[in-house]
Amino acid sequence: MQVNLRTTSPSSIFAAMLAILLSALLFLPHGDLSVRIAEKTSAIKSAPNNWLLYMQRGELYAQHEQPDSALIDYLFAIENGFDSSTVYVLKAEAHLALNEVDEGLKSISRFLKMEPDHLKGIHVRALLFEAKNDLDKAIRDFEYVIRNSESARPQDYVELSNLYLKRDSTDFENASDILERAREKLGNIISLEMKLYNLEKDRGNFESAHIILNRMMEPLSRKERLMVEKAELYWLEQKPAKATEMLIEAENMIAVLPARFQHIGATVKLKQRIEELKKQL
Amino acid sequence: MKYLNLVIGILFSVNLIAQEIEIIRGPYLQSGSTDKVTVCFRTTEDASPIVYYGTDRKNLTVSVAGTESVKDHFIDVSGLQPYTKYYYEIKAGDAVLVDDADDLFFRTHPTADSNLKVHGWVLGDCGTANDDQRAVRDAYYNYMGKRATDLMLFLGDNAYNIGTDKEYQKAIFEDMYENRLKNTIAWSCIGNHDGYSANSKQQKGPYYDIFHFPKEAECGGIASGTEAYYSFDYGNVHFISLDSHESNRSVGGPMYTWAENDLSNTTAKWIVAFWHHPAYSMGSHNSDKEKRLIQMRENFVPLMEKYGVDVIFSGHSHTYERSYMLNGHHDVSDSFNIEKHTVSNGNGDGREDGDGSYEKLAEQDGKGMVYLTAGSSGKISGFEKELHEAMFISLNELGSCAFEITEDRFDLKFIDSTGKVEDYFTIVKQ
Repeated sequence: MQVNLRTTSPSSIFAAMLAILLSALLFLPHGDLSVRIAEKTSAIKSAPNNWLLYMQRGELYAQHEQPDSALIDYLFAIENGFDSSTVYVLKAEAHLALNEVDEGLKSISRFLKMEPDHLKGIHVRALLFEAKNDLDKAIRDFEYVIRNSESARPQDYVELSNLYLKRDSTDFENASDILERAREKLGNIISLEMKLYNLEKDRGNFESAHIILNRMMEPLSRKERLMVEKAELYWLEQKPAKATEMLIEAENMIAVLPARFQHIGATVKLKQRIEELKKQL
Repeated sequence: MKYLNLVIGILFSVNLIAQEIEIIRGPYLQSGSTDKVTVCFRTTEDASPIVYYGTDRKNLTVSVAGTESVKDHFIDVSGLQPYTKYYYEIKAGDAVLVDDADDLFFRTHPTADSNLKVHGWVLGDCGTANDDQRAVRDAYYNYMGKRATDLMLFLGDNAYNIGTDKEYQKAIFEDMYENRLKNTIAWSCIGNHDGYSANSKQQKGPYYDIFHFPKEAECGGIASGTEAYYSFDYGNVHFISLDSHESNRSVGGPMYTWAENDLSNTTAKWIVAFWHHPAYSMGSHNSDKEKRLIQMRENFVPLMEKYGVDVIFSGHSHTYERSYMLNGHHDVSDSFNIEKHTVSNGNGDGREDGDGSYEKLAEQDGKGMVYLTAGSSGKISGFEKELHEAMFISLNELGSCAFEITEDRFDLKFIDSTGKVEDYFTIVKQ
């Protein structure tokens, strides 16, 4: 883009500035989000006491992963008269992103006074308690959110299960119980089953671990990966004959896979694992 | 006489109600498989419409009704034959809401052993609801001519600015894709703009209300337990859709565990993955700097490579960026080394009439994946100062991707908004 800067007429200066601005926008790192932030900044210059503009820019900053800038805007919005609950939950999230836990808890507490039982608010508070390592309160809040959510995800249950173990690494009972509750609600989802399986294996409850593994394998069309897992379980149980039997079965399954699967990274690693286990047996 | 008036009155009211009901969204098709499809539409009033269908357009004798009187209808049509074209129409009482027509049909998915050609249309960040979006659409329609589209993949940010129901209406259903959506099954992944109004945690909001994806492996793959990420089979192709926006993106997290088990269970010849945030981009988003993009590259790209995924589509950056045939490049753009991070003849253009089609060979451990950041179906937003090193081509052009998959080859074309094919490549498998 060529711009003749020696001309001094207002229109050519405007054209030059526009050209520079356009080329700057072209290289903004976050594209339209950056453009929208720039637009809000310009609007704020014209109306510096407008809380709505600060709120809008704050949310854009949050989306832009700039929680520090977002927080400044939320504070400006409050300073300029905005006292809706929304600003306090957003402020709490920004504090959480900045690991300012106590400030975050103050903000979410204010939000929850205005909106008691609000699931998002309680979830944010749970995250803040977790960040503060106040795990009893974090668990209480996560439990509340899950119990009152119509459609909690596998992830929510797995994270709560992890939290029980973070609080007490021997609390397999609660850690398993929440996953069983998830299974009742969502069915035999592999991410839940795998977590449950690892818990039972870690606590040495091999019989249950086998039941879960069998349940996971049942619907699969390719079972070789979980067969190797089963062989490892037999090995942990000190049942080498059964482990060997399972490894041979896994090898047979791999052998009949189409050629395109014989050499992919996952199969190569699985074959290596089979050889390692054979040596250990 | 009194009773006669009453009967006439009732008949008149029923007729009036029937006449008043109209379809204002759709019909559109969701969650297809070899034996079922979901017919979706919105009516002006609560109603219990019936979908009539059959293989002979003049004889739509089989019917299925919704289970409750609502405005948003998701009617599962099941017990179907694989790869069969069914015409349909929708009625409410005696009133015909959507009359049968040549282009009102759904086709069930083929079985894995069919080896039929698959035509897919990929739209990234399309949802501007403006003439740019329509120009991209029209260019694709002209390119395809009378050829059918088997499936549509939306790469997220389907409705700007914040993915509201109203924005979806304008960006997807009204004067936009309705002619294709009524006879082509559509799939999507969630984008950040969809996520402003929808919530993956609660699986609520317009994105989750409008789309119905398989969370119980109804369409192939393994049950994910959530519509945020899922998989499905179309013939010999396995598709996997991930949530790069709101779900946990860590190695060993629930989405990762599900994806690993899903990929390790497929026997499909081709595997195509799609999610919103690009692992490689120097478009309007920078994959060296932004958390979600980095996590998808560092955590999920190695998983995709391990299981032999062939092609990955993403959006988010409003550009078209297409990589070489990559393997093992999980770091920042500058670290890309064309000799080290490409496999087979993956350092060429991938064009049959150029350096040659990319060859994905079993003896090279099935390595090699082409990565597309294709988020320019609704707008363009330019590039960083430096283009991404892993990209063979980077274009600041409006457009969409059309792919064809047969038993042993994958062909992709990027069609710009004027109808010009700006990029193309082929992957050939033994």
